[in-house]
Amino acid sequence: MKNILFLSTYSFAKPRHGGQIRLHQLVKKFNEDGWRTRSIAVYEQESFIGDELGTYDVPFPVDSSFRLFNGRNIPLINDLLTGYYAASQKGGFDKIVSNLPDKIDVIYVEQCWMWETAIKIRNIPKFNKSIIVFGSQNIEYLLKEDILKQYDVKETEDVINAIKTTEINATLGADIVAAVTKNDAELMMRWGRDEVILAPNGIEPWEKKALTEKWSEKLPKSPWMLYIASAHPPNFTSFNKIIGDTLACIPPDSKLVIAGSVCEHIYREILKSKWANINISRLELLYVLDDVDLAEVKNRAHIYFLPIEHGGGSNLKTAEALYSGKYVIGTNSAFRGFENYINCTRVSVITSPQEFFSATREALLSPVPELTKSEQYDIEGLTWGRTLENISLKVSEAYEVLINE
Amino acid sequence: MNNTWLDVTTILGWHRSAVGIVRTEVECATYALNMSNEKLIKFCAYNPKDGYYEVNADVVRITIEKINGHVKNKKNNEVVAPLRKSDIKTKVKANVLKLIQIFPVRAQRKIINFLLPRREAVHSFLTSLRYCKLALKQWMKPAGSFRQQHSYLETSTAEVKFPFQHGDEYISLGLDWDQKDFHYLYLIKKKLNLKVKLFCYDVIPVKLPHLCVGDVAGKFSHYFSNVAWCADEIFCISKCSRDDLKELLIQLGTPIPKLTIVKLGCELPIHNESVAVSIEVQNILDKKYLLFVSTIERRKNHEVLYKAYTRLIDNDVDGLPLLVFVGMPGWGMNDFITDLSLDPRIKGKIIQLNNISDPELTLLYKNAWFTLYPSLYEGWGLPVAESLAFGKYCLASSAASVPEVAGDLLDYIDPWDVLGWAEKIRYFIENPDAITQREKRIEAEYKSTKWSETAASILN
Repeated sequence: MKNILFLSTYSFAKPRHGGQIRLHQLVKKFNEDGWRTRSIAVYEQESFIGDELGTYDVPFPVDSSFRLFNGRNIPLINDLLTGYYAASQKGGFDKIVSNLPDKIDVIYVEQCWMWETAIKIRNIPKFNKSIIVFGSQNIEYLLKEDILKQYDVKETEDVINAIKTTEINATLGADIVAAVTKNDAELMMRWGRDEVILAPNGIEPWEKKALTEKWSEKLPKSPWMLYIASAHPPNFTSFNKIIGDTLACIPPDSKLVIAGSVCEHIYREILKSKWANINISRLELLYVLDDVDLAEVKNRAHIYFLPIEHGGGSNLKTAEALYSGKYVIGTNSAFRGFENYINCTRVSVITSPQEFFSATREALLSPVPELTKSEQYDIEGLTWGRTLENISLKVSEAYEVLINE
Repeated sequence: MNNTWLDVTTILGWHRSAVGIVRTEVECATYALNMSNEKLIKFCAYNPKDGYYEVNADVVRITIEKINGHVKNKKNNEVVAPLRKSDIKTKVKANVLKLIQIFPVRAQRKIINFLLPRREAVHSFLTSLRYCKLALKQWMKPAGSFRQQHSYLETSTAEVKFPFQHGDEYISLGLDWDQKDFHYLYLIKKKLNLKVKLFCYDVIPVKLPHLCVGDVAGKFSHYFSNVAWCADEIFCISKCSRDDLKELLIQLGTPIPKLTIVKLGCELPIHNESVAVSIEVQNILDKKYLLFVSTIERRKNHEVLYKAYTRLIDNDVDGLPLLVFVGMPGWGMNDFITDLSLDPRIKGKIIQLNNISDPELTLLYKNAWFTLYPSLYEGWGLPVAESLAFGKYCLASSAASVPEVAGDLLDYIDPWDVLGWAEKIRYFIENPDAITQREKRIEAEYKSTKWSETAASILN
């Protein structure tokens, strides 16, 4: 049987945020395509617990000396530091090795952080024929540069250079490279890579008819807007700027409903705004919901809102929003990877608060959009089964070549 | 035929003489009561328990009579220093001293000597108690656990209550930010296709919140955003107010309804000779005085007149008329009023009158030499219009909407320019004919707006 090992810097036994969901879907896809899968996540000890962990996951201790970058305490770079910890004999490498399966045909490194670890695993004689796949989720060094700048973290040039080096090494050194957007793929090809497989983010279809009393009481009676996101900084740091500090474009009987761990961050952001009083009256925060509740909330939404200004890659939530068949209002960045959809009449790409105001007012006062047959067909292409098709095929082909050598 | 509903919530709850907004509602309701049957006007009011309900025309009539006839007897019109409330620290100190007095006199000194160096310890102990309370509160309700306030309408199936019918018109001119639930009104509007007409007197609480009591910018921006969503038409009382409102709504991202400018009336109710006039007012009427009618608050800028007057007094200007402030003391003016009461230079020269009835105000306008209006910002400037309606010249502020009232009939001075105000007042004292000439021009050219005209433009 063909064997594939997934390496990541977060556990995904209970997938919540975009990266976890993507990994979960990748593993699922390869399982369905006949692969025996094993995943090892080297995770921040303080961030995961209990049933959130996979069987073979390895903790990155909170008091590890690897928590410093060249002796300096720099916030928001634990992914990079996790990679260093995982690849080092003084860190978690031996634990990783003890959790490896007997046979590995493919090492799938999701994001660049575990690149050095993958190389070290392949250097182990019994794994030296394994194929390495590098799955990029976005251009990490650019995203990190953005985030550190936003949080006003100083003297980060060496950090950014370190990430860029790792990312380029992974892009040029892997046997197969996958990207989530055309833009990312093009940039990676400019670094010298001949071929980059496009494996966009997708969605897991959900039950679209589920409606219960519980949610009809809790949610606004009039059409409302939904934003679902994790606590990943790009999901909230530009929120006030995008909405022009005000949600007064939402009528008094409607709300912006927010679900996910981004809630408390949005609440804090909103309090900074000059119009906090109005904004709080137009917000309904649901925090983290289970899948059943989330499915119902999604079904009841009239508009999906995607206020993302930073980051590369593509947004899982954009795929979900487009798949919903409802109105979608989002920034340019939010539609990265979904450019084919921006001309749909139900989609509004906003570039200023004024555009946000008018698009929101118009959509909230309009009836639910009706999709044409061709739109229906297009959105089916957004499911994970379809978006991960190419990468799965490519890896299988490489495996066939390997075993026939 | 559709009804027009005039909301009288504000006047139903008003028990004093009419001022500003109350007067607008009183005058429109008066006009509505006297309207012929060409248009069916009904009255309504709102309270959170009963929603909107119909108000009988007789109730409105009695309410208006009560407000128009309101004259209160005053005991004292002299400038009174505000009472200083004793704080907790003072109270504790007083109680401790009382307790010590229980002990024999010889022991009292020893106890005080023992306690005095330990004041800091007591202070630290009290502070620690406060922190304990805060810690307990933070423990029970951690930061970030945002509890949303839900109006009962959002969480239950409570029905909105109203006497309106589909397609009716609803007009409200009152103190809506304190008295109405706009979520409620918005639901009715959507349900009945109600044509909603609301009022904007000014956006000062949002534009200049520091000149208002408390942190009102948030509350009022919320109010205006709701007004924009509910209204089909918003009446603004000046071009300045209309432009300010439009600018705010653009910034907020709400819809922008039709914005119509209406001129407020400026005549006071006709003086019934039999109405009693207080001694304080009578004492002033036979003297030469300048009149400033307005609540005493920072925005109205009484301070510039006080400073200008003290300059004139310091410069021994002869023939200085009395300066009469008519209006109740507002928030944050304690220090200013204390200054007025303690400054020996202005004793008997600046008079403050409070709780003046409309007939008294009429007399004060009629007998004034001229009026002053140095406001920092206005949505209109009713006292300027009132002054002109009485044929009285007004030396006015150049700010905001004030110059809209009378155009080039008046002279305008920057409200912060103390010297400018002092010099102009001195000029008129030395050239009294200039006032007479200006009054002649006002008489010939100024056309005052009648309240009936205001009401007609709103109701017809």
